[in-house]
Amino acid sequence: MREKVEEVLEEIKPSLRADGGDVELVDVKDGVVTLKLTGACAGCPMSTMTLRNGIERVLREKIADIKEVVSVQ
Amino acid sequence: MQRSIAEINEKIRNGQAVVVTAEEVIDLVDEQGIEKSAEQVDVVTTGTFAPMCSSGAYMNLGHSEPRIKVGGGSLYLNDVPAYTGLGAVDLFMGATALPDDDSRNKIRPGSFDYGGGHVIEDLVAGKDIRLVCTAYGTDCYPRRKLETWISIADINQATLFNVRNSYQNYNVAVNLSDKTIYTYMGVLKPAMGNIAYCSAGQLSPLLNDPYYKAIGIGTKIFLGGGEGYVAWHGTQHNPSVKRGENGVPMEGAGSLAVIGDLKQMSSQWLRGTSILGYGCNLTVGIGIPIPILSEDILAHTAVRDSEIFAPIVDYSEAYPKRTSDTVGIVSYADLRSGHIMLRGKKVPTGSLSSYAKAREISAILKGWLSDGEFLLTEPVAMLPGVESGMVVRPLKERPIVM
Repeated sequence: MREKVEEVLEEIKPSLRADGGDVELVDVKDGVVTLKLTGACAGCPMSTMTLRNGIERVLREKIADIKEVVSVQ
Repeated sequence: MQRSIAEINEKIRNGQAVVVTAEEVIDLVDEQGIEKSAEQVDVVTTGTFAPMCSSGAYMNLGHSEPRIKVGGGSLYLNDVPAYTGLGAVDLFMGATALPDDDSRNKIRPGSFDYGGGHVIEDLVAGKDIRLVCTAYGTDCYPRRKLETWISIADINQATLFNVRNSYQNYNVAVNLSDKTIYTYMGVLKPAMGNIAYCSAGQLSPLLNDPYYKAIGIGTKIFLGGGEGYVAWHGTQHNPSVKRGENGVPMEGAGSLAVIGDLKQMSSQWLRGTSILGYGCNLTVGIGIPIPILSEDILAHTAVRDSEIFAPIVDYSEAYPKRTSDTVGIVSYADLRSGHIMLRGKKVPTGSLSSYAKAREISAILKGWLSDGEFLLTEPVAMLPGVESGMVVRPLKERPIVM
């Protein structure tokens, strides 16, 4: 699953990078994807919504087995 | 140097107009100076893409058989309530409207997954929208209940009418308290954990026309991916604030009411937006062409982020209590660098307004003008300027004694 997640993240990254943000994959374990938002996303007041309504939504749409997407600082 | 809009339009028609974005004009002025640049450039395009809460759309549904009087009744689109205090089948959907059963902030922070802004985005995207309406019934409008799917193609009119958009500058938000707060400026971490701002800065329309000498009522604009117009000055339009030597307001100042046909817009540029712990919104894309009618107008479009300043305001106490205290003043160049120093601490910054999308809008509008697809309009009246004396007053409460 890790490879699939990485693949989808590569599709998402350009839109984050356009505004100076980025995302790193930290871990995939038992359907839980752990991400780290970096760059402009780190200080962004909307990063929670970017994670939930943006990254998580796309990951869930494309990978059925995902149970949860969490972020670490 | 003087130039008229009619002369510029003639050049646009002939494919000879020189159009640059509000970013490009900065370099041009650096290289050639104001005078030469003003002679060369006909139009400067601006752009902004940010959550703009006083947005909404009015619609006319067409009459059902038998007829129903929506006016004075209740109407929901995808469970989000619309305003029905209009004619028989007219309604208004506001960007911040929420379903009655949304849990809001009962358990903080509420997620506000779907609201009026999302309905507008879905409508523009051509999706089917579930309409549920109840009415009280009259002799001429006997029907009392209507449940149907509608789409933007089915209804007579769908018009975006945003009463306050494209704010000219805005507060920069910080949280001085020891707990996380959830605001319309996004999530603010405790003890100055982050800083939020919301402006396209040097690309933002009214920051490029600080005294409203080019943008007026009737100016044709890029609105939500289609064509729209400036309809009026926006609510809370406040030209009388403190300005820098370059004329640029040092805080929230002018604003625009804008209008346009939703049917020719795109959901790419009108996005329903959820703000954690705060509510729903609509993120709107706006681009405004600034005709270079004089050297003065050109000089203002060459403003850069390092010359635009905004006040830093504490949203844990000063903002909610409406005190005028500010924590400091900061330039958009510093904000855009990713962090600023505040009270000896390095604080990361983040923007609700997408500079990348603002840049894209200014480039699209440049393309429309360069291709001769978009002609400028002459304002029919100018926006109230400094000379108007217009100010925004707080609410004066008067106790109701029964």
